[in-house]
Amino acid sequence: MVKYLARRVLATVPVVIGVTLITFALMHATAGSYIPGLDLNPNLKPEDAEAIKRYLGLDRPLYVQYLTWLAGIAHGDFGRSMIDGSLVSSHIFDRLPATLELTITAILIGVLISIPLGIAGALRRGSKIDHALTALSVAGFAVPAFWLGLVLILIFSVQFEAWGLPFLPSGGVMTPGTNGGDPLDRLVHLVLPATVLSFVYLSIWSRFTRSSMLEVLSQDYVRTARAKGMSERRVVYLHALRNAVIPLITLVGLELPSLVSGGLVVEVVFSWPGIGKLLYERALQTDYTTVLGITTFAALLVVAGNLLADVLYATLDPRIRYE
Amino acid sequence: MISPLPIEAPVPPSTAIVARTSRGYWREAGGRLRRNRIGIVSGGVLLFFVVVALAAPLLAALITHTDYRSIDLINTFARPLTPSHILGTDELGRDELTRLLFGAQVSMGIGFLAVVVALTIGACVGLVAGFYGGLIDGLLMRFVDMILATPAIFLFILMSILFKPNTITLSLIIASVGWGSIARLVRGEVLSVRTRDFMVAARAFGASDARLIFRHLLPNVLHVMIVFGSLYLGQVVLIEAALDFLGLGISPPTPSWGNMLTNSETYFFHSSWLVIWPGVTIFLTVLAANLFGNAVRDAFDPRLR
Repeated sequence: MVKYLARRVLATVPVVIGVTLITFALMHATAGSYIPGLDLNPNLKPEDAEAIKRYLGLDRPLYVQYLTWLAGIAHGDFGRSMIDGSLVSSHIFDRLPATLELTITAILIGVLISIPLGIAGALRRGSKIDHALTALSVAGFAVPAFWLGLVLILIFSVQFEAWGLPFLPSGGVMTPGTNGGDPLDRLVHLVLPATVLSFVYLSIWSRFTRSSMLEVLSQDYVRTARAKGMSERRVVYLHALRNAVIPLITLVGLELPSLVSGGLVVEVVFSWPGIGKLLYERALQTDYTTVLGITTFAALLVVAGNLLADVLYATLDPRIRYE
Repeated sequence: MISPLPIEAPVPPSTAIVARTSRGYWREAGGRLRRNRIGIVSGGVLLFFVVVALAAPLLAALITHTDYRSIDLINTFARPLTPSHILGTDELGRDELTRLLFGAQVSMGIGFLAVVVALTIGACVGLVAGFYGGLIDGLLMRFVDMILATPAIFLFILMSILFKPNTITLSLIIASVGWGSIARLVRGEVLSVRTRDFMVAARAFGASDARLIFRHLLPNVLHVMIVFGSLYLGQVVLIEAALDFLGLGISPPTPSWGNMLTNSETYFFHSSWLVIWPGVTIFLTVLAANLFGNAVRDAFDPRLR
């Protein structure tokens, strides 16, 4: 296990270097000297422009700039905004809680609903329920998340209010003016965005659980368990389920990076003040350095998420380690 | 592939085997696809949208009698089913149906272009990486890892603010991330194909690397590409619509299903159809593309069923 772990960790090193290189290259392609038009500004004397560049370290060779930047990232410094000079990392940590609140809820809903749905489909293979679930997941995979969000707002916020029914808020994490201390208020705000976000997960994971469950149910040990006269309930929930959800864990693990990026469109639709909305707002202002800082942060998280999923998988399924 | 038969007991070729060899793999897959009713219907829907996209100017002239740009400030927010506006009008009095017709050009154009570009780049990288192996393989696949490790939506947004995309650049932006997955798939398939006997034989005949790759490997990985391509189309349409919706893709006055939804949020209270139509068309297109992709997969790769 230790050997496997070491090998996996080592394998991520080139990926990390590559990802940072790509973003660094993009940063230079885009921001160039960080300050577009610095050399063209008529109000600046050339030597002043040089002084600014020297102050920002832009006169040093590229590899020194890259290493400095990398060292900064290692210390949690993702650079500064090109617009207002604020620290990108402080923005990230400002917005991270809201994003995590949304995505973790969505993933939990996804897991808690998709596994029972997948089992139901597998156990009643070919039945009406199975077909309905299949149709639902095919539809869920094809519906644009932002549009689903708009339609749910239209129904549950706009129309319900018009009909005088209790309606759900159409955006934000809490009622404006409150300080977010009321958990019920936060929960009510969470309902619509979390539903939309979990919809995609639901359609993928329930299909996956179904096929994984079908495969496991055809295994010899399940037949043995049945032959022993074990109750169907025990066979399904004790023997089959345990092995059927192992591959699902990898799949969920692969969604870990989307903890940060997955909700971008949903965050924009529901004006949810998370990382995705932050990136979007900054992108509209062409604040390249902030966008790149967030992208680097997210990319590193992806690498970490993949690693975690692999390790988790290897812990649960010993066969993996010996391949 | 011919399975080795024991020499002692030669088996006379049964009719079943003769029938199999006389019908090629492609013909058989085509037959399976034609027998798949859902596949045919969804393929038809997809074809319908392609025809609509190609004939949009004609249809606009003949059916809706208006242009996607023509503003009619007297008839803003006309309800659907009003005489000259079957699906109603938007905030500037532009005909919704006409804009949907022209929006199909954006979705279908970018969809197919991005799929073709991603397939071409991905297949080349996958073929080369799988064929040569070793250092080249390692380098190329690590590069793919890096591309796929960066959250795609962030990369799209980043490139969108850099290049201010039009139809072609937006396809390239989307394809610049999508090729990674197909490269991986093709490489995996190449690894299993390249050790087969016919490859060894072709090499023994002195075939060049290029000939080996394009004449012998490519036809054997083509089915992976077709399956991926048809499933990828729906994803591209979804991504493209989302970028347009965010105002980072195709921007007005060119209508696209995504950017038609951008403003609709503002007019929720009185004009909900502006939200409904573009979303339904996106949904139908992606649904058809996905179902067709599934049918293609079942036809070309029955093992995966």
